[in-house]
Amino acid sequence: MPHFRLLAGAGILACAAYPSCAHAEPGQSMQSAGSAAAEVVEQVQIQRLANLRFGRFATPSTPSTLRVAMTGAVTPSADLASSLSMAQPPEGRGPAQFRIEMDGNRGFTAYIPASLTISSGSANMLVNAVEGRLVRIVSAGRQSIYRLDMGGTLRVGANQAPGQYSGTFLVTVVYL
Amino acid sequence: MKKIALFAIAAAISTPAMAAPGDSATAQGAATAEVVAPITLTHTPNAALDFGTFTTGTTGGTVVVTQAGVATDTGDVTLVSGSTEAADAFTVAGDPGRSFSITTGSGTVANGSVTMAFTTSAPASGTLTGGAASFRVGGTLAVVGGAAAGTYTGSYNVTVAYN
Repeated sequence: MPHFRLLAGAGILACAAYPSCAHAEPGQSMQSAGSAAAEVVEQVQIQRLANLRFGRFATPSTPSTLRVAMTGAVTPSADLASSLSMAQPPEGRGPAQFRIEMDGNRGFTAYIPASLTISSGSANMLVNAVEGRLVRIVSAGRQSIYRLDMGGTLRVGANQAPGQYSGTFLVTVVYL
Repeated sequence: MKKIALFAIAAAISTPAMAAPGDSATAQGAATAEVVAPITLTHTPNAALDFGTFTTGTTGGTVVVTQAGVATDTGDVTLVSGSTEAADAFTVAGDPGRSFSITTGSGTVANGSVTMAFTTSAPASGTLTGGAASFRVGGTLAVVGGAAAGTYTGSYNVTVAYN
């Protein structure tokens, strides 16, 4: 391979003693193709598909828990067991779900809350033992689509006030 | 607020991933629950499923009390004149407008060592109109022929549950 040494400021390109090396004449210029590159990646996107829904149940007489796992499994404590057969609102019970679209060649981190509070007026209930999982839905070319499932345990107080309870939380995804 | 991190690495990485700091997205989620008033069941004071006063005859039979409290005898059993029969009575309270199921069990009445079995009959369901409801329970007593005279008493279970 020819070896070239560029003399700064002189614009003269000097060659080593290679028979095939081009000789630059003073005042002449030389061009060479340079290279440029850029990488465009799919912008990470996240969309809510479903809320974390604990459904409808009757006030228990003792402190109780109702767990909706990230898998959708529902586990009540003893005092709420009878509520499993209670007619549910249209949205039913189930984990929160989000759709994540991102560049298929990249890794990412999804952040979910460790706990949250839902309220009805001045009455509150804590959701803790939050868990999540990522399920790959599609991986085609430069795009990958994941589903994030999030569950948790609702802590219900004895004689919890009747009402419609709700609360919000944030889920963030970040490219590594 | 403490956060939990979930990691995902693309399965098919042909070239090392180039980190792009700051590229992120956030969505808001929600959690919901609906708490309703508990359902309560109260036995009306002094009410009872009363099969009345009757003779058993030698072969026995039955006494049937409807949910309206009307009694009939069958077989060798005869309700005596002046007998008073009645259906049992309960009240229910809970979430207004919600329906509930009613389940009643069977039981026995006893006088010392002598027992007679009975079954019950009640509505299958009710609705908490204005948050309240009531219902009555009838039944059928299997009378043992020649059973000793006396006052027979017993109990049975009743359960209500939101639908």
